[in-house]
Amino acid sequence: MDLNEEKELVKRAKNDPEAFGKLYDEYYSQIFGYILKRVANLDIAKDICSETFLKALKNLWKFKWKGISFSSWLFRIANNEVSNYFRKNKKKISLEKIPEPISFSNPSTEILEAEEKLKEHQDFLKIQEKISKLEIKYQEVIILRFFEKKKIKEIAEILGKREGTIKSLLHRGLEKLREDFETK
Amino acid sequence: MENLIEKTCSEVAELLEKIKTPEIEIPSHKEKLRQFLLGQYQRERKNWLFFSVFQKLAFASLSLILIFFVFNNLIYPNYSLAKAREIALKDPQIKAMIEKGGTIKDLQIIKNQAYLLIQPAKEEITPAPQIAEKRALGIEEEKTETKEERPVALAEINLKEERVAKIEKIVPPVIQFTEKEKEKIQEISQREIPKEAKIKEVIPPLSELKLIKKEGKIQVLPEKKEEATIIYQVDKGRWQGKINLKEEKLEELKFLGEFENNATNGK
Repeated sequence: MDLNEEKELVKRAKNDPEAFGKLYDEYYSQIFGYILKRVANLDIAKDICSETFLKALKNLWKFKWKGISFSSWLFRIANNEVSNYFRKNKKKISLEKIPEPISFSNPSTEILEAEEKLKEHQDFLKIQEKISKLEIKYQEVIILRFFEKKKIKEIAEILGKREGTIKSLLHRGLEKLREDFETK
Repeated sequence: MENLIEKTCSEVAELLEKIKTPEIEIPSHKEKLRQFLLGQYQRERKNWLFFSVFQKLAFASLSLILIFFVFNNLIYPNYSLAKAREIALKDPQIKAMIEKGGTIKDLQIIKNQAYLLIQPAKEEITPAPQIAEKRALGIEEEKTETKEERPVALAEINLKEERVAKIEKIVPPVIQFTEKEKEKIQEISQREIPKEAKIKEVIPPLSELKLIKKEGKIQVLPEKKEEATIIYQVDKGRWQGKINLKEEKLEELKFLGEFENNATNGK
């Protein structure tokens, strides 16, 4: 989706639930993927993802196209939720309260399959474990840059920081990661 | 992973870029969350409307408060001050005082009343007649000069009716020197005036009046000046100077004229 389309959809989403649904369909995978890469746990990722979209819905009326795109805004909410999770280390919302959808797939089988898939990425899990030991400010820039393949400008937009700050955070984060490798 | 040991930062970056990340989705969660959010949509939309109206109202109220504040504290007082000055200057009594060199010392406004303090022109010290002149005029003995009272005028202006309601004359009180000030004057005089000089008089200054707003009323309060006027005589010549107590020096020295030595009183 190009920027103009996104802009139009966001505008419509303020009055039309269908447009909001389209935005959700467009960004769910990206946001869930980012959260999963940050927490490396499916249950936690599900909860944080739910909280992220609920916050996005609650605050959609406030969103304006001023220096930040809608996708960056969603990433910013997700990032804040992950940081809150790490700080408080507790779950915010449980989907158990949400009524069961009409679905032909079996959720428990899905979870098991997803967990199996996650276990297949051993290299990712090992390095993610190392990254998760860094300070949050380094974790977020490293994951956005290397796992989400975001440009420095986009990371700056998501985190609300200057590009120079992002570069130096990346450099220092990589340095700390390298030190961690050396100590082992 | 073992190969990662002793890597440089760029090598760590390269390694991170090559890591295959999991692309996992949980369709049931996606669907459940979608339905939940769409179910919440109408309720949230009502909240949006409420908050956006509330935000607009808050913004409008803040703007009004700001406008009111600016008008009340900056525009209206300045306008009222100018208006009060204009009304006062139209009054013949005040006009005459200003023409004689009087100055508007203070101006304060309370509700629809303006209070204007007019200070008369500063007293000019005229040199005393010389001995020869005094003889020609038949003056044998020196008269003791009494300081003329120079009352300050307090005008009360009704801004609504655009007229001067009342003019009151107030004599500024003379605030006597404290012991400490007396000692200081003595010390400065000894340092600044010739040793053979005889101090004739040390005059405390007239206090300056100012207007103070207190509990919705105007009060006229005296403000003491940190100075003293000293008159001294060296031989027949009489001098007047101002002792600045703050800077501890003698200034504005003036020659008053020649007087007979027997007329001196000494310290």
